[in-house]
Amino acid sequence: MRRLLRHKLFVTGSILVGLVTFGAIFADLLTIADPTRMSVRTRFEPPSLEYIFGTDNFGRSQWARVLYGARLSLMIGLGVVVLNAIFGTLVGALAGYFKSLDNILMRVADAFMAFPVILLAIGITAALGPSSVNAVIALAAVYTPRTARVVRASVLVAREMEYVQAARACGAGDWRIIRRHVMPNCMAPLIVQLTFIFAYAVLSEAVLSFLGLGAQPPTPTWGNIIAEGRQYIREAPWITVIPGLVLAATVLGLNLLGDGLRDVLDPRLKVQQ
Amino acid sequence: MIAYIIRRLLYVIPVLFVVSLISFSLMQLVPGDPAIVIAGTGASPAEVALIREQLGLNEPFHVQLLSWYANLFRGDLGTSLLLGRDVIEVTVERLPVSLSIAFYALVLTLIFGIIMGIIAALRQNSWVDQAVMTVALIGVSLPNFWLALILIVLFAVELGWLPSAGYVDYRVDFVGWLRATTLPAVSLAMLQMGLLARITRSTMLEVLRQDYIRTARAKGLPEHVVVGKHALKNVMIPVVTVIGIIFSVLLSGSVVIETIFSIPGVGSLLGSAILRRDYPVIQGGLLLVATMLLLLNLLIDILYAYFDPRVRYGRD
Amino acid sequence: MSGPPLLSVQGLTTTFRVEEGTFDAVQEVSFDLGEGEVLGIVGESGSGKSVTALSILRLIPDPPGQIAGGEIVFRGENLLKASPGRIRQIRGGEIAMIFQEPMTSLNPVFPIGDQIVETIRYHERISRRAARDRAIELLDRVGIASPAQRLNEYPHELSGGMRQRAMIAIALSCNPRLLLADEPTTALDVTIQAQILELLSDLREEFGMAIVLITHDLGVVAQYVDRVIVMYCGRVVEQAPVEELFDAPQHPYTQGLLSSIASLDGDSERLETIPGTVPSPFELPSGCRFRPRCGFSRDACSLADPPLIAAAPGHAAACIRLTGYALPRTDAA
Repeated sequence: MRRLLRHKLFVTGSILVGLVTFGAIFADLLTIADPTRMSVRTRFEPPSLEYIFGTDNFGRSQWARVLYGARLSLMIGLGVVVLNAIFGTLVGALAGYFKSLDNILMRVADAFMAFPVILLAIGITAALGPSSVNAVIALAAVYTPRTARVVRASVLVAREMEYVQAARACGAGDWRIIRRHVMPNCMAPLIVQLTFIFAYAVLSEAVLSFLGLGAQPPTPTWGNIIAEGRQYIREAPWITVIPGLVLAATVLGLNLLGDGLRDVLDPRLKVQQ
Repeated sequence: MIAYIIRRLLYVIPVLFVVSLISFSLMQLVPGDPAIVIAGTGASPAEVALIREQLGLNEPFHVQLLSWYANLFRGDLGTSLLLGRDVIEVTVERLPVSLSIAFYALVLTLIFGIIMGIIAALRQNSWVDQAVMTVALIGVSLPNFWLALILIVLFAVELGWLPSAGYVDYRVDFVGWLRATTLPAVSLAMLQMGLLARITRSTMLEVLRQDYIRTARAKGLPEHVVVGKHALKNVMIPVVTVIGIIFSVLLSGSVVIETIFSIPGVGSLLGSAILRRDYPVIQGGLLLVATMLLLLNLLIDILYAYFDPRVRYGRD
Repeated sequence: MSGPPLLSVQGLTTTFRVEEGTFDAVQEVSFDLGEGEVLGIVGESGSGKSVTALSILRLIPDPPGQIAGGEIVFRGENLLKASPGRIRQIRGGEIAMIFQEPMTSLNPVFPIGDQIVETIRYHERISRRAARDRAIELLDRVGIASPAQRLNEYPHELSGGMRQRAMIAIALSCNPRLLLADEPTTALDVTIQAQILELLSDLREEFGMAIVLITHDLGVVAQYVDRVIVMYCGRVVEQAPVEELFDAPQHPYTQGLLSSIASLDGDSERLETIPGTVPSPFELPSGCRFRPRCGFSRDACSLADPPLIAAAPGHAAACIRLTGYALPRTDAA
């Protein structure tokens, strides 16, 4: 922990992610404006004291929309991470531990990974129908094979370790060995991987909702705010620029967290700072 | 080397099979009756029936699956519902556009990513290193569609240096192509450039710590040979392996970027197919792109074996 | 020793800066080496023997290391003052070096022939063909069968012993006057070790070069070396001609090392005859660095780190027992 706090980039990342999370959780308290309430009189207000991030083409408060957008983005990211943690670990552990399953599971994973990430996510959401729940499902499906590969690699290393061999020699069952001996070894790379997945998921969700495949208007997401603001980018650049910057800051923060965790938790991968 | 190539080929075949299965399954994911979803609200029962007929949705699952594969082997991926044309035909026709842009973006990524990474590694911990790595980190975090919009405002609208939309065939007017594709290529490349710079830097630092670098210095070789020959070839090994991934991500980004820049490529084709639920195009387009990338990766593996002699000899 | 020495190291100090602080990996090390002489440097890992060799060729990675003082005079030229260009001429040309790990010391992505040819071509104006012919000769000379074929093979295709032979071929490629061999056999099988050492010994006769042989193995020293330096915690604690060192070791550390090979054959219990462990470079004891592990220590030993004190002609040890526990005047060495 001490080493994490000394890691400057990790601290920067925590602050960025912390701010966005704070905004997302306390969105109701930080703004009294309803992110969906339209008002003709307040269209295209530039950022001011009254409207911190300005207003959009329907006169809605951008501050409120970006905050509620943060809530949705982080929830979607978290959903993808949770599903990844469950299924990625399961598939990775099975493939790494049971040699008979390895080949087939990894060929399927390879097939999923043969599709470009966004394209497959788009394909799946397009089939399931556009909504934020489907975006979570699609992104989880796309990233799970990647997480599974990371887990599998650590399991392969762990299962050959001497104390695992010893546990087996003492007659411990497969599940017990996996739970007690193999999984703890996978935690560090898994946590690092999931942090990066969080970053990618937030970024990819924005792409999906920019294309109209995420949560549907009037529910605000960073992606659909940018898509709507696009037409007015010359007259009212703040509509597009601000959510983009918040999105970039969030992804940057998560990337920094991932870097910091990797440097500290997984020194094998350490990149000298 | 030949044996190695055959081994890789044998590995690709089952993956290709699963890839085609995934593409097929997309249609099965559509909740309810896909024909009704495709026809949209307000379609007459006759129209729905027609679509159902066209897509073979009346058949039981296994018949659909078999006919999908039967058609696949004949090189038939179905007909676009919107364009009324063969899916392979429309996709292949637009492929050079997307590939040319992705390739342009790849070249930008490789040149700048590798150079940035090497400079940062050689000046480790200096201000140059920190500046380059900050740029790389920001590049990694920028959403490409947003970057594209900002670049359009800056370079097309305000400065008027480059067109904001459209495409020019490179065989007709190369300079025009370059002008039309620079902003899209830069928007696509930024993220990967940052990633590659970071990979290159850490690999270079790792390689520079190796014993054989000390040997090269002990032999009296000048620093530019030590770095430019002995270190660089070893750095290129992991870099070559990520080229496939980079290209895949670049191509993946083309859906959004081509839509934004109104470029008539596979990306914008898929983009509009998605919005109008033209499932045969979505399925076929995805399958073609994935197949292409698999073959590309196969090529890269072979290239990798060339760079790293250890791989060739059965160490798999 | 007649005439000026080939290499004269005087007061060499090399420091390292690491997270925990700064320490001298090598402190005030001095020795001379004559033409064609084989000098053994003996010590446990961390004693500074490799750092000494790397300092001679200025191969200390900076950061974290730095040569902080002293001079290294090779054929009348102070290498610490030489230009980078001149140092590169000397490296591989006049002074060559081979390393402990033949597995990792050759570049895995180039055929070994290339790695020999480039050394020759960098130091001499010579055609690629001629350099190639010389490389084949060299591989043949170091005992690699069918050298013309082996030339095109990659390091991973050779066994450990073969790789070390290839390293030696690279080192010999420009006829160096001095070969620095940093634990050249430690990573190899026992039978291969002997072969490599025999090869080095033959080559020294043939090429007339001097060798600095760094090792932790006193058995190797006894057999192949003319003179020995024993290092402990970055300092020279004893130096002597090889017979004298074995017959009449003066420093308790040397005595401990010798009795350990005399009494035991394996490495496993080697340290039993010397109690305690090597101190961390940040927690060096006051006075003599060996004091906490020494059976002869007295109060006087903690007052100052003793300099080398002459015991016989050409034989000196850093132990105040030689002066009856009286601290020598600083100029006594």
